[in-house]
Amino acid sequence: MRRYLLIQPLALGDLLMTTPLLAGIKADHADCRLWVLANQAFGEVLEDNPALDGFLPLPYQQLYRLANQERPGALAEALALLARLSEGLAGKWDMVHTPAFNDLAGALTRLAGGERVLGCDLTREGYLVTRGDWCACLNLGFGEPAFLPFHTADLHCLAAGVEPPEPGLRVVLTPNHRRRATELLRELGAREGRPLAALHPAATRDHKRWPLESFAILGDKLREAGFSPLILGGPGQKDLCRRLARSLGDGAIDAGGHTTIRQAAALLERCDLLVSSDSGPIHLAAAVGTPVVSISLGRVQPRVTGPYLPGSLALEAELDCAPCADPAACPHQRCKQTITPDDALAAVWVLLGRPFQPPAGSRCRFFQATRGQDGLLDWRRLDQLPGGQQALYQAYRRAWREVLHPGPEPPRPPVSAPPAVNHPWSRLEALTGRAIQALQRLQAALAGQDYQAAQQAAGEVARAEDGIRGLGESQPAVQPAVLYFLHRRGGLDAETAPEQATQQAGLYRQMRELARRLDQQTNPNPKAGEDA
Amino acid sequence: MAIPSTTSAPPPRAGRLKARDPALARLLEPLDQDEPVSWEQLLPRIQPGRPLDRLGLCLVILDYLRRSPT
Repeated sequence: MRRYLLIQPLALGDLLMTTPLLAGIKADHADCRLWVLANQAFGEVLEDNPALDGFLPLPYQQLYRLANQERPGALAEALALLARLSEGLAGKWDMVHTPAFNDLAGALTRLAGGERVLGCDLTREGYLVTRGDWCACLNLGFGEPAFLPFHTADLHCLAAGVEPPEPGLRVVLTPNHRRRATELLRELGAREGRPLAALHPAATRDHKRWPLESFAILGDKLREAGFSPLILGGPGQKDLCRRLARSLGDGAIDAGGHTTIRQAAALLERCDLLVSSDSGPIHLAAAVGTPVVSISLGRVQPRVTGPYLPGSLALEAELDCAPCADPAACPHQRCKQTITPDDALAAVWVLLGRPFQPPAGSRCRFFQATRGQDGLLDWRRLDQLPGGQQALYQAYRRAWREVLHPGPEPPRPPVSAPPAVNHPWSRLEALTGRAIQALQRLQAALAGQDYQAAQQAAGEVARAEDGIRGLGESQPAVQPAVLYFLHRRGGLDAETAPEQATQQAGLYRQMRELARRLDQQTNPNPKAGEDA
Repeated sequence: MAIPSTTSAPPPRAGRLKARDPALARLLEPLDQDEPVSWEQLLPRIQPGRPLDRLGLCLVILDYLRRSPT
């Protein structure tokens, strides 16, 4: 692999979460030339990153503005920008890796035209597909909230089959950034020797934003505890930061809109902690080693996008609907009020080394980041978690790793033993076995040009797939496996029917193997003939 | 797919744009000289199921941005 292009057109935090992948690629493929295409507004976080050979800026804001103007020449101007971008992008890459899932990401991937594609892609007819086992698994975290037991940063590395030499996100700070941070603290009136607690009240989406009043109450409590609240925000968030500073009054340091991204990182490096909604700065803080309390609201899944730094905490509302399936349709946004300033303060004390003490009447889930035995980031619940759910979480964590493969190609079929019966995993195993047999018949029929037999076999495959879908709907424990299967199945788009049947057979074999592993791990001593 | 309302000024024609910018000329190569470069004219090129060329892919990107909240 000589030329690797990573396409990440999403937000700042998404780009930061690719930095372990970049380090891993460079460490495992020393001769590889590694480029990143990303929103030019966030390119600064990759400056001076030693893993990177080049950065291709995507003029996102300019394109967004032009695409949304009604002026007759605006479309032509936008196309002129894309004409140059696509010519600079095309046809140079051995691998294009796109861990973002939307039409923009898919179209950029196709314009890049890599020999191999990992992650999001568009078919020739414009249908969005996901290539690669781990990328399909990651996509579960972007769709309906699912039981995804890995952090996004680790999933990127698993997808590429690389391991970073050191765990953790990375942003490179120069002496200039640190000097500017010192100057800013002086200019903004920070008191010498007083510890700093950073607050970031903004978030890109409203459903992810903790109420400003909650930040204000928490800021007061932190000040009473001896901290100087340092308010951070980008240029577009100045007003929000100013309102919070005004509400906190004396002693609050309002750095909102005063910094570049790396200057903000240098400020965070000077802080004892950050409290923020799930947004770019939690990853920036994690990258400079500052512990974080992240407030996970709306559809945010803390295990998947929480701060990638052992010791940090992510808080989620103890509500049946959390994380949310559709924040835009939510009539109450109750999660925002369910997590209280006292909950956040309890998490701050844990960051500072005190034992966990939940506030009376707390309705909050407390997740603390830890390094798992497998070397990947893991989370432990500080409050109570039903044993069965935790066991299932760990079972999926092990089974996915045993069965899913890095790279974009369909999995190699493992050798398998005959299935048992009746248990939900056994049902999944039996259904996949039935599909595999039907696919074998389909391949034989296609080879012999017996189209009637082929049609019959294809019908059997479809019935097995319906059965798998129904099993996923009726058995919550099986649902993550079935969601993965359906997503991966939808992304198989081989050009010929025999090749499509081969790819499908590979996927069904993988599902059968996953069912067996999960059966073993969740049910170590199954009784023969046991039903669920 | 919402089509923005048109203003009184007519959209530029492909031929005029091609003459002005070589990179844009290569992208607009599939269009006739007189073809207006407007959403109304070009959206059918990205109907689901229709093979996408480079121009189509660029239109997919811009159409996504039009539908995106930020």
